[in-house]
Amino acid sequence: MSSLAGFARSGGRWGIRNHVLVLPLHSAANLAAERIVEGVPEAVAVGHQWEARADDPDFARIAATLAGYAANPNVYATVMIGILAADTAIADLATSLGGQVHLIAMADHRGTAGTVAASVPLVARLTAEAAALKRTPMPLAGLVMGLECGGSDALSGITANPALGVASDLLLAAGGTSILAETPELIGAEEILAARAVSPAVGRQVIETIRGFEKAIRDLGVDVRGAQPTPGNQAGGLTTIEEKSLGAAKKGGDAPVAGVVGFAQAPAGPGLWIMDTPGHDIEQMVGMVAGGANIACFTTGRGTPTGSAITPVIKISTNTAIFERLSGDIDIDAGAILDGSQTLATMGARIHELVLAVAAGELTSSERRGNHEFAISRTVSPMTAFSG
Amino acid sequence: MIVSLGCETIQGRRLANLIAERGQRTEFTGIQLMGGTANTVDRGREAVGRLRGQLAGDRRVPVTNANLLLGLATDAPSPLAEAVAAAAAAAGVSVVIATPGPRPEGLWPDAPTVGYGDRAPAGRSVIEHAGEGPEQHVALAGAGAQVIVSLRGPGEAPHGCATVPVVAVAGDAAMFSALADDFDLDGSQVSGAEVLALVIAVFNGQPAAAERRGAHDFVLRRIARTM
Repeated sequence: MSSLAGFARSGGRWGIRNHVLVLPLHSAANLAAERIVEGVPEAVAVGHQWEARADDPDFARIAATLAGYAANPNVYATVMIGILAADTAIADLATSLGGQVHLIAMADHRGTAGTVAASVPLVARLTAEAAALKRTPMPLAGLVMGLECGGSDALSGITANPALGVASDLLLAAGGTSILAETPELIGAEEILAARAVSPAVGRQVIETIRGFEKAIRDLGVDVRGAQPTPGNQAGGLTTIEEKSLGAAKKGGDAPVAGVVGFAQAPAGPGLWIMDTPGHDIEQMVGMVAGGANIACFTTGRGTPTGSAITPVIKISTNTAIFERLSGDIDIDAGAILDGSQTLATMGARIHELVLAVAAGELTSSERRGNHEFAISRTVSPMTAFSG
Repeated sequence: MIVSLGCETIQGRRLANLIAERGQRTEFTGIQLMGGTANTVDRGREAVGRLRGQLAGDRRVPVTNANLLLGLATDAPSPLAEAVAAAAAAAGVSVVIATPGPRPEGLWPDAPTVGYGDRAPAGRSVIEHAGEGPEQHVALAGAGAQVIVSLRGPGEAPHGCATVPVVAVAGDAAMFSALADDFDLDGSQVSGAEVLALVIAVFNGQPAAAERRGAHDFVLRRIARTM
């Protein structure tokens, strides 16, 4: 049995990192957040484009995203930068999810410069507290692993995705949790996933979630095939969304599907869960991290360096050519399955070993670079929502 | 300087060509093209250095107000928006106004509609469905505005724009005083002529509050949920 050490959090959750996060609650607070972490480089900040309208029809989804991100167990404490001190809904939600949250209001400090000056000492104190905290023995069951693919090619479904599926099954066997997402990239695989559901009700939920996404796109008058597979996928040899999906679903291994959660919602227990997210790489990653993913594995055929400010992302290439071409951006190459030097089983075991090493503190390539992509995900068109 | 990944639906090379066709200096690099982030950063820094070298020779020259296009960002028509537009018209400055949705009843019925991303003509014009706040800034920058006046609603915070100076006008006195460092003017206290006077100063190089703090907002108008 492998031993692991991490940071114990409330509710039996475990962090494998100990970040101090500076999180704007409004797009007008992005610059202040950015300047604060320039002053305290040990902290991390993300930015987004949300204007924090209380009448936003996606308010609940966006609040869950920001609050869940702040409460992710990889975060020691979050300093939220808002506009008005009275707007505490998101900070309160993050606290209820187990986060340690501090709220600074720009309106109390005349704007950006005063907010930065007021926040830097607080953030510096929190980073010092975080640095003093020691790892303690942690069960493998404390790992919640996000599964993602981006820039897929014709080999994704043959090498990296099924190898990641093996690694996911190994984690689940140890009592851990995996999250399969990117709903539009499950279109065509819904019957296979539904047949693996732990109950008929979960099976129906799988079908409804995937068909619901397809219908929402169709209702916009848009043909999903205009954007899926993407131009890069097509150049990589993928011909249809169904072909892409059958490969994408292999990231979930052979485990039963324990349940379906909404965007940015935490799975209720261990096992393989499906989260309803867009296929957009960053939105999907943010949704899984807001849902509690403390580690992520991301397969890529065309190569993409994206990461997360707070959750380590392990990049897995589908082919050796892209691994060598983008060597600094990718952590492990599953292309070795093609030449017979590895099997799905041995590569899956290697990915699992890397997951454990990263959980223990080894930095991933996106962490070394400092990738900190973040995006707000909407279901309602802002045009429909606000413009009548 | 276009930085592409390589898989995008809007391909970076094509975007760079569209920009160059408009007469703008442009460079292009891509992560998949260059073999990773580190190479892309190296290549990108060289290219930005070339662009900066080109702009080092640029000098301000005298222009008339007829060369100026003021972008007006506002949630809804208002007396102050009309006053700023009237002051601009009297000074011979062209004005393009962005509206969140379709053109409101009675707003400048004789002014042409500018397509999103198209150049605004001389005189008055309207960009419909431009979104809100910083989304409008991008629409106005795309229309060719050299300065944007952002008339914020009551209680709303100000944004900047990465490429165009934004004169941020607070919607009410309380918000102006709460965020005094980030606003330029208090919309409850100011006349159209006073706004235009600051606009002309900013045209001539005086930094607006958003520029002083280094705000570089860029918010693309989304028309649908993400796939």
